Amino acid sequence: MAVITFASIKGGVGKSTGLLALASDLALSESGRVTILDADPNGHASRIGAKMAKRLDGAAFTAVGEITEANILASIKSARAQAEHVLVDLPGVSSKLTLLGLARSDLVIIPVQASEMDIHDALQTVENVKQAGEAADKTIHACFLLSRWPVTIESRAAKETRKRLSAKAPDVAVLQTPLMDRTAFKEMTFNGAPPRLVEPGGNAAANVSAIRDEVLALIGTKEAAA
Amino acid sequence: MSKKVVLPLDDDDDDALAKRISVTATERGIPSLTPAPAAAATSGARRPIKVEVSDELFDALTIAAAQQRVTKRYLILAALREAGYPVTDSDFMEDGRRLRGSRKI
Repeated sequence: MAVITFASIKGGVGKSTGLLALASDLALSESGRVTILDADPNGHASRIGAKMAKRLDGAAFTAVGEITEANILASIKSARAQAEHVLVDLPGVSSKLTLLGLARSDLVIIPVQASEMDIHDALQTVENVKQAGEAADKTIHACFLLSRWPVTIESRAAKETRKRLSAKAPDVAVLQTPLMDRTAFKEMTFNGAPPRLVEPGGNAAANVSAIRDEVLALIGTKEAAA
Repeated sequence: MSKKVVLPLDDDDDDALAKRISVTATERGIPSLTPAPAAAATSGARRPIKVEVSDELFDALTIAAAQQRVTKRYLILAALREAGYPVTDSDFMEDGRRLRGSRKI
């Protein structure tokens, strides 16, 4: 039912990694069917998602690739009818395809690494969200997900990133839980095995579950407000 | 006289949304990732042409191309078409670059 979109006009910020981590955690939470729609021409989410589907044998998890301008609206409509959570991976560039995906989203998650370049492009992505919202004649809710975040000490760059995001986009929430820079997420891209399957009590699994709780709370708040 | 039935607005109309997004994308200079179909060849074989220009003209073209986010080749062909030479749309071939962010108009 809920469409959660990972978007940033900058590539390499952790869209696909964050999406795969969250999607697998939702599937393992048995909160209903999860469908990934991969609209990024690179096709990473669907390729690794296919491996993940095998790992999650029995779980209600599907990854669909080759989502384009021509089929994204119909694909989202179809996925919404069948899945409890639809997660869309958008291309790392501002495009018509990006706007179409954003326009049908209930929540847009914008990953941001600790760098000025990421902040700049994240803010531009927020503009795209607003443009899509104007075209769809609705308010599209968005939040920032701090990505590849330092596990030990929060660096000056990381602190500055938090500060600037809050100052420059005060109406866009920053998730309290960052997606940490952990080996488990990198390994997940090789073998499709989500952290919660590899080490259920591990730090990476706890990290994703905390993000999942925040995201579900945000969606619940938005649905209640609608 | 029958009472007018007020129907709810359809927020699930994909065709209407697609059209509105197309308008927004065009207005904001946001590109499509779908390659345009190759234009039919109209003038047969193509030939290269090389022109040497002054530093001043070269720099002016470089700046204009950067500002408009097009190639120098595009600017030259557009000027020739403006002057009345037979330059068709198929002569403006895509160079495959992807725009980052919205083009500021």
